[in-house]
Amino acid sequence: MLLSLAFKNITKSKGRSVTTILLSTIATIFFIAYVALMDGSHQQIIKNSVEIYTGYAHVNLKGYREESDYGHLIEDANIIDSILKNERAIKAYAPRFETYALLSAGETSVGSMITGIIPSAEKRLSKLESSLVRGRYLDNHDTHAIYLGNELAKRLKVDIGSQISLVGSSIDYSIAADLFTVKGIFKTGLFDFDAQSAFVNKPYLDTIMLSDNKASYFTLTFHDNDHIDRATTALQHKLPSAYEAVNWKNLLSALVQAMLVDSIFGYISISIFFLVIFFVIMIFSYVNIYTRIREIGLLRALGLTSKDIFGMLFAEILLLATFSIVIGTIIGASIAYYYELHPIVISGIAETYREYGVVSDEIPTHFDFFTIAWNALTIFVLNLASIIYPVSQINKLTAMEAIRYV
Amino acid sequence: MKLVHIYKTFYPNTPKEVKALTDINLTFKKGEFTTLSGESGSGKTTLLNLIGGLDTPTSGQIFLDDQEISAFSETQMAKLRLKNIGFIFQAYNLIQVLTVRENIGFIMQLLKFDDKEIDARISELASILQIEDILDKLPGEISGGQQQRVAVARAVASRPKLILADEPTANLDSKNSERLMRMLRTLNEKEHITVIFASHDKYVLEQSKRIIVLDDGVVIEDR
Repeated sequence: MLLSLAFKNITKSKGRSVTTILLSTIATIFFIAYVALMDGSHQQIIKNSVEIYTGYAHVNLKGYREESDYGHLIEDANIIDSILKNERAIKAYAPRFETYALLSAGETSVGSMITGIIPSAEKRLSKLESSLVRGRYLDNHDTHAIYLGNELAKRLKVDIGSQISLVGSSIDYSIAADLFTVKGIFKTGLFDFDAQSAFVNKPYLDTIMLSDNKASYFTLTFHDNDHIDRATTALQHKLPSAYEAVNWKNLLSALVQAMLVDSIFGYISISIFFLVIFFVIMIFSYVNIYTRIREIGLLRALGLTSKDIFGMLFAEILLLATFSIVIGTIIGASIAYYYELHPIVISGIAETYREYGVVSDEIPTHFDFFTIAWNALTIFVLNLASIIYPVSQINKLTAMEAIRYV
Repeated sequence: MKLVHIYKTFYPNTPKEVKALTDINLTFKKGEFTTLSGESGSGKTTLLNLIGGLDTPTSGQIFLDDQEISAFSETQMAKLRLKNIGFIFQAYNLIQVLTVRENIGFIMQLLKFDDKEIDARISELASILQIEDILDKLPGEISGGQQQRVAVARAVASRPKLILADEPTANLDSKNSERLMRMLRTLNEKEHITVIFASHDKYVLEQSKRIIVLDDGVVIEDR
């Protein structure tokens, strides 16, 4: 009977019901879209940083992260190669040899990071090839070819076909020097990376640096990068004790920290949003319930207990909240899904935020069932919680006080 | 029902203190048809509310079937009202979102009567109170006199032990007042329901078997 009365109260008081539904629906849509956008932008930044060059995980000698010098190289890359080759969880891997050298062209010299890569393998591990803007990407037979970041090319004032001299230190600390021809120029959008990085075919670089069968680290990607911690831990167990498997969360710890800080601010904003929504709904419920105080007093006089009254009003908000949250979730989830496939484009945002790893003007949302479910559930709980205070206040009145309430 | 040394004071120990009832001692027997009479402010509505458990006495005891209901909690009192007391208010106080039929059956539904029994009782009362043709209307769609008859039907539907009616004829014309009193008298005689009015309507007083007159919160006459 009380459920039926609650339902009739909803259907007969259309204005009140529609306003409540609108409030909750809009709150649900906004909340789901906001969180999807926040998560989407974070994932985009991380994905860019991981996929452009760093990779999802590295295998290196313990201590290499702290001191990336020749004393911490992988001395026998074949051993690691044979382990990674047999690891079914790994989708692709390749060794890299990173060193610092002085690049000179004409009268300009720039210190930069020179990395020896296996060009064909890198295609599955990084976006170096797809970031090409001029010339061509490296191939596995290149000898004197160098692949430069566009900002580095600008600093050296070189272009495709230009000659560059490299002076560095081989791993026995003798001078390593050679002449290279610029074969390709790339642009990832990561400004610092594009301003400092140059790539050379690793087998050829090894002949200059005396680093044959040596590597700074192996970069790799798993078939399932969504469970990276589990995959990295499993790989760690198969490596000799002197080596470590490190995933992107540690490799990009500064970025992860920055995202965490941003998320904290995001959640503070959401908390404020929650408070606003909660009080808006509560004040609306308060006004609603007080306009019905005479009716509630009558029901109490007829024999309904405080618990019955709470049950009836709870049933009303339950029905309204369920309806509006289902609608809000469908719309909010649709927005999240649509903009994941067709990201929002904000012109100039990459230029403004490139130091944070934003390389595109596109900001996708992140569609995730679990996130959407907890978003919707939160608004649902807020709705239900919003009637507790008004009802508790009304239940303090006696039936007669409620009937006579003006 | 028995009232023993009942006192009711509003806003006690404040400058606004009002002594509404002073040392009321009354007994009501089953099947009585009684009116609490007196001028406005004499305390008759306050006394009616205390009898119905809508308010609590400042001191004194109220017994129903040897149970001290004045010591009941709000929840116990609500359950007691639901099972034993029917109210007829001056302003009808029907539930606006329910139809006449649903209003009449409301208490019976809460008491979990069988649906067939509820339908039969609604038909019976509708026939007695001549409201058969408005059963599917909402309270806002019917006249004041009809609303008061619906309120009577709701009050007696579950066959409570006691019906309390506060100025039931105040908003009715003489014809409707006469009809209402006749109906309540019939229900009192046929169903042996105790009826207590708070009223100063002459016609109500004429129809009553017992009249208790209050003045300034004190019983001055009981005949």
